[in-house]
Amino acid sequence: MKRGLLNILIKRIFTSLVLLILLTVFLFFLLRISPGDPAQKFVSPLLSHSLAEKVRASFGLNKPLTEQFIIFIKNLLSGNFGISYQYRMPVLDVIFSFLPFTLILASLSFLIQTGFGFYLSYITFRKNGGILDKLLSKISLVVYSVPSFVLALLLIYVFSVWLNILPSADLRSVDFEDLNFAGKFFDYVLHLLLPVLSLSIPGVIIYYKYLRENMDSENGKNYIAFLRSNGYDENTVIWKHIIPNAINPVISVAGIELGILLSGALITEVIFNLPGMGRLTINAILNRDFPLIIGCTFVSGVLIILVNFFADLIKYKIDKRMVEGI
Amino acid sequence: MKKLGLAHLLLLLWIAVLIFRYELFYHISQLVLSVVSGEINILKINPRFYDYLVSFLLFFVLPVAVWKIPALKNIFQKRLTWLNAFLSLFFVIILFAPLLSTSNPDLHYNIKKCKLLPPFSEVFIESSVGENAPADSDLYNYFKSEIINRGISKGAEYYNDGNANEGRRVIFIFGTDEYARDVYSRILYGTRFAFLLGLGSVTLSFLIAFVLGLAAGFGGKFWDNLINRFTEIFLSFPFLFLIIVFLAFFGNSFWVVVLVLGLSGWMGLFKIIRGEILRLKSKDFILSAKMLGIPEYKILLKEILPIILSPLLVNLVLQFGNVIMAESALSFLGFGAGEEYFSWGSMINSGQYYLSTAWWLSFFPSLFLAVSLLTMNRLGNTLEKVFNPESTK
Repeated sequence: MKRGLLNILIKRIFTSLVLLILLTVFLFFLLRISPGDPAQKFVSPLLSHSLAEKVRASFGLNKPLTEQFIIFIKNLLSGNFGISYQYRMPVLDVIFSFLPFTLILASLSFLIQTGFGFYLSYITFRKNGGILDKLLSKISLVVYSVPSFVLALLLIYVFSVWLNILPSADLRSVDFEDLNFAGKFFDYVLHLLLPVLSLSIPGVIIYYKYLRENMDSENGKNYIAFLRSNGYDENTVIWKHIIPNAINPVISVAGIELGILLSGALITEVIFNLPGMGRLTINAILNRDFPLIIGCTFVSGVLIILVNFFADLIKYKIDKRMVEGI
Repeated sequence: MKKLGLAHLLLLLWIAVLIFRYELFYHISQLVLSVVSGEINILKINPRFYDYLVSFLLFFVLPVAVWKIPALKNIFQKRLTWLNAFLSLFFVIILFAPLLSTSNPDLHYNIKKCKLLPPFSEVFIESSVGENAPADSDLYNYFKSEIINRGISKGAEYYNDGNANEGRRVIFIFGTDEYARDVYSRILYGTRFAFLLGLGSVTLSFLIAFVLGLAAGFGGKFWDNLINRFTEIFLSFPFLFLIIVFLAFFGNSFWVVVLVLGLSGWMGLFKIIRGEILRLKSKDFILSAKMLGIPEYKILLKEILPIILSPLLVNLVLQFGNVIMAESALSFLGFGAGEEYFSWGSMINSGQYYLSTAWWLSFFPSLFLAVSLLTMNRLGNTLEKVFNPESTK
């Protein structure tokens, strides 16, 4: 059984990789046929025309399209995405200097989302119809339809403008270098508090909604009534039967959510001016930095494929029937 | 709340508009009269005037229509709930945006006086006479200059014949923005824009999903597999970056945004249509219809479509909400349809730089955005409960 499962998953990951490469190729052509010249950003229009031509040549944009494509494919297969126009560094080096922050932010936010989502749904499930349950079911409706950037602005207004206790943007204070180690750590925590909050609150609500619905629907099923009537302990019923069954569909949601977080929480990073993958990609797009755009898309795609792979693994681990299903 | 009907709310709105905007009605009717009498050349009229005219006519035709047409009457006799109150409010805003708005959404008032005014501030704007008179001097002249193209000698005449040396009081319900434009009017037109864009791209998504769903459902195993693989590609990658690349490089206009959002939102609809068709295809009533020799398109239209419409409608409404959200997010990042459209997202974006001094710039568009999304989500849930009573607890 194990081998069959692994084969299927590897096949799936392989097709995803092929798709990713196709997507990258598509992106390559989309960028090349797009209007606008990346070299114009680096050369003043007052300077001579031949200088712009030189810059173009240094980007490798003066060659015919087929030749550019062959070079691109060769580079791609050897894991080289070229040199970023803006940073004048290899694309992967640029990305790896921005990736750690995104990984930290995403994992922090993911832990908070799943933890609180699970905790809230468990608490309200145990105390069905309590005050917290009623309150949360109302709040979840509202928060569910508030876009993340509105929430972020609201948090900034309350905590930075009105109460004036938290910084509204950036990762460090101006006097960061003068602080001691504890001060530096505290500074990071203060600056990360609002972004993590605004990233996590919608996620908490999503997990809460899904888990709560699934737990309720599992609770109404016959086998639970059977277990209860046979005098099983309530804790056993919930922890051994309801939760494992309810959590299974949520895992694929978690895979998608984590994928979105890892590819850069775009809007949050833009609002809070944080050095993450999302803002890197946006800046690359705005500056027409072709190699960096392709590199960012590729790395995000790989991260998403990996996350979905692990989500699938966990899902099959929990529900053995799915192995036969695929 | 128990005894109130939808009709009460709408009647209240109707009377309120009539009381607060009677001046506008008077001017519109006067201008219509002068067009009819040949005083103003019909070719020189700004196309915007027709917008006013249609709202003006609808405003008086709709009550009569409600009175006369039983189907409409039934809708209006419904009990008032939060959901249908907000739905009809949005409907009213979309239809009557010109009548409800207190000024032209593009109009820059005197920037010395009117920049970043808080909500409900009232400003006296003096009128000045002459060819260079500002358009906002008094309502009648403003309105005439609004509908008659500038620079035409006829237009200059109209500046002079108004009540010179007087002014008018302008009230900014939601305040003004950094260019001294009326936030309230901009939000009203923004509602129109958001809903139109949502409608356009949801229609596009529906068409794509419907055609592909039919092909997958009826085209045999090969097409089914092929289209399914294709859909999975679309589902498994984050297309946000691709959308942004497309919008950033190929210019942003209304139609490009509709196209891009429509192309990125059809997957869920396709899955529903395909699944329903495959489920229905082997049902006895379809088989018997086939045996009777009814052509396939008729089976599709008369037997299958009515059944798949109900789960589809729920999804379309939710997709509509998603599109509005996606559009405002794109506009917030600066990749929207452009500055000539009044998008909530770009209003919120420009407001975030004034968050500490002028909270109303981003607060009111955010409020409208959140309420419209909430309304759409609630509508989707309610429709699902109506079509699928088993899901109600």
